[in-house]
Amino acid sequence: MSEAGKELNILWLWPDILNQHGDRGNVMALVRICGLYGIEAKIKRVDRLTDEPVFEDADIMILGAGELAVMPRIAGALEKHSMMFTARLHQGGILFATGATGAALGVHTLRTDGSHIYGLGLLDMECREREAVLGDDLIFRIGDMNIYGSQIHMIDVSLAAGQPPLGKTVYGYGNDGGGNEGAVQNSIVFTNALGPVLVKNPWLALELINKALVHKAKGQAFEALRFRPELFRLELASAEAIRVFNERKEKPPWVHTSQ
Amino acid sequence: MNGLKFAAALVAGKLCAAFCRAVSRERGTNLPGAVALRLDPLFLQHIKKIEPTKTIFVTGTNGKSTANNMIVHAFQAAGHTVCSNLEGANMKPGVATALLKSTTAFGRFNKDILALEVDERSLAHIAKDLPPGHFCVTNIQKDQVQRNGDPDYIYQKIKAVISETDGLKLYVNNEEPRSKSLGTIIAGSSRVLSYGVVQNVRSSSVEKDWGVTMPCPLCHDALSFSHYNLAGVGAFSCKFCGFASDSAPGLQITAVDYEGGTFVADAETYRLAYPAAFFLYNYALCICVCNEFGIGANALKHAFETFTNIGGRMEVFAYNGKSIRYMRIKQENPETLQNALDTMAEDRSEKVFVLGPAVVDDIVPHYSNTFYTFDCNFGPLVESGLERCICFGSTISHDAANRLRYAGVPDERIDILDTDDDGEILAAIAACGSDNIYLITWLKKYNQLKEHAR
Repeated sequence: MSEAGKELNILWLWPDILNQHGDRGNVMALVRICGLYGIEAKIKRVDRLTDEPVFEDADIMILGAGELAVMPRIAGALEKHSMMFTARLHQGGILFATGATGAALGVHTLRTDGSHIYGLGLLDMECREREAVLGDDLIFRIGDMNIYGSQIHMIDVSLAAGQPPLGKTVYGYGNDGGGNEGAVQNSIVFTNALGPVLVKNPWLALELINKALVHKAKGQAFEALRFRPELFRLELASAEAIRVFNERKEKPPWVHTSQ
Repeated sequence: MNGLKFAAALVAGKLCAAFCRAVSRERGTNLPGAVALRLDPLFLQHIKKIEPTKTIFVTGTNGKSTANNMIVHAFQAAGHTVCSNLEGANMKPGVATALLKSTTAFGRFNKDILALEVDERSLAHIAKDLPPGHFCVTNIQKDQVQRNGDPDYIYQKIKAVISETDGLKLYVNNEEPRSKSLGTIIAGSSRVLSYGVVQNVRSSSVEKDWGVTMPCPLCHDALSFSHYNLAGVGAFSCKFCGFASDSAPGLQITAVDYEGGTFVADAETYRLAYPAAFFLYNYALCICVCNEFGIGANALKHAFETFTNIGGRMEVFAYNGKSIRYMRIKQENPETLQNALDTMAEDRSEKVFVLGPAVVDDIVPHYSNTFYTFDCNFGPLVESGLERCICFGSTISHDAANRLRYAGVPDERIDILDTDDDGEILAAIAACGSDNIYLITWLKKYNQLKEHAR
């Protein structure tokens, strides 16, 4: 089934505020990959916190990595629009969040200065700001997919019992060094991985796009987009090079590895 | 007891410095100070006759070495004696080493001025012992994320030092929001001096569609930039809280003439010996500081005529009849990468772009960060005429190539060299048709390539 004529609405939330670690690349990746499959990705930016986000037709909502300092205002802005926002999530709109922005979606974050950030509680996780930054590569597995990226870890993340992780670490620290990486809840996907992670892992981007397209199809017959290796030779070569590099390098004492 | 500890530290530090000088001139920028601090952790505090009113600190993410070097040169040209860490050792042992050279056998500081480039992370430790009367913040931007995480981490450290140091004069960059916002900490505007540069022919507009600015450092809403003079530096405003750059900061560089090599500040025309946008901010800060010390325009003009920059941002080496222009950037620092890309984009002729980002290997764990390249806008470079791109490096050449592909460079114009071998890299460069070659890689790799090319 041809995908021509299909479109996907991407709501890019506060890119100027959540501006860390080149994460705008995740939006670029969605646009590029949609283009490769004949789907038109339409981007709507929400720039200022006082702007009114239009959630109704958002197929994928993006919250990029941001500084911890801005999270109270991000959480506040989402809270202000929580009725529309959560309604869209319940309807299957996908929310993809990265890095310290997880603090805005979790329950609570304790900062090193003793102050608190109260998130929306959409993900059942507690966060604690780290005394020292942790920067490393991060390789983790979701189902049969390996995801390659880096992480700049400002907050340790503890998942509550019953809160599923997004994946399991193959190499790296993940949420708290215990083998879990990220969190997922219905259509909310949170990862610590940077890269930008959707640039480096088009197979993950395809998963998100497929999920969004399933919802758009509203029960009609839908043929999922298939991963086509010939389109992603660079990414596949990169993944292999990063895998070998991390296998051979000197490991820090806290690293979690699994085969 | 304190006196004895200090005396022992001073003697040991000076002996160590003499030994280091005898062994190698390049070494010994940290060790003597480390020895002195080991024997007397309050060594800096115990040196006599250092006056805060004559102590200048220059800190910030980018430009602090050049700005400090220029300030030191201006003071020396005006007849002052200056103690400084010009070798770039900007943590506490480096500062102690610099001071050992300017302290008498009786423990007295023997220079007119103490001007130091200070590492942002070491700032609090150094300022506690040597409170600066003049405190310059060039900018606070993304840098060394493996250590610093995000700019707010450094911002809070600098903010604490300003709050805890009595009576300092603060020099802020009017067009860099985090630096500028530090002025709000100090009550009484006479202690805050701002410097800036007017919009000029090399100023750029905000990237269309994909442009990303930054959160307001005061209220965390989105900042708007009307133009950039440098990456992340330009006229800005916050529509939520009203925080904005001033249209006329205390010291403003105007009438920038890159071709003619001049600029104007305080109605005086100065020679622009280094016609690069980032240099304008160094000149502006230097003039601003010198004004406070009563160094006049004539002395400054003479200083700028004779100033030589140590370690430029662009170096050239020859290989196989080709001149290879090396653009120096800092690892994990998108602003310096952006400035290098913009400089290359000013050259509108067809060029070969050689990109060799290496893994980040400062500390364990080494890691393969290339995400900061997505903070940068490669568009103007791509539009300026790229005949060919070569991406090299055994681990992340594919990621580098992918970044260029995302910037619109067609696959057939990108060569990927999945190797760190200097000979192979240089052979690929030699095989290019064009003689107009730009290279971005880390300093270590550049030195290896230069050595191999000899």
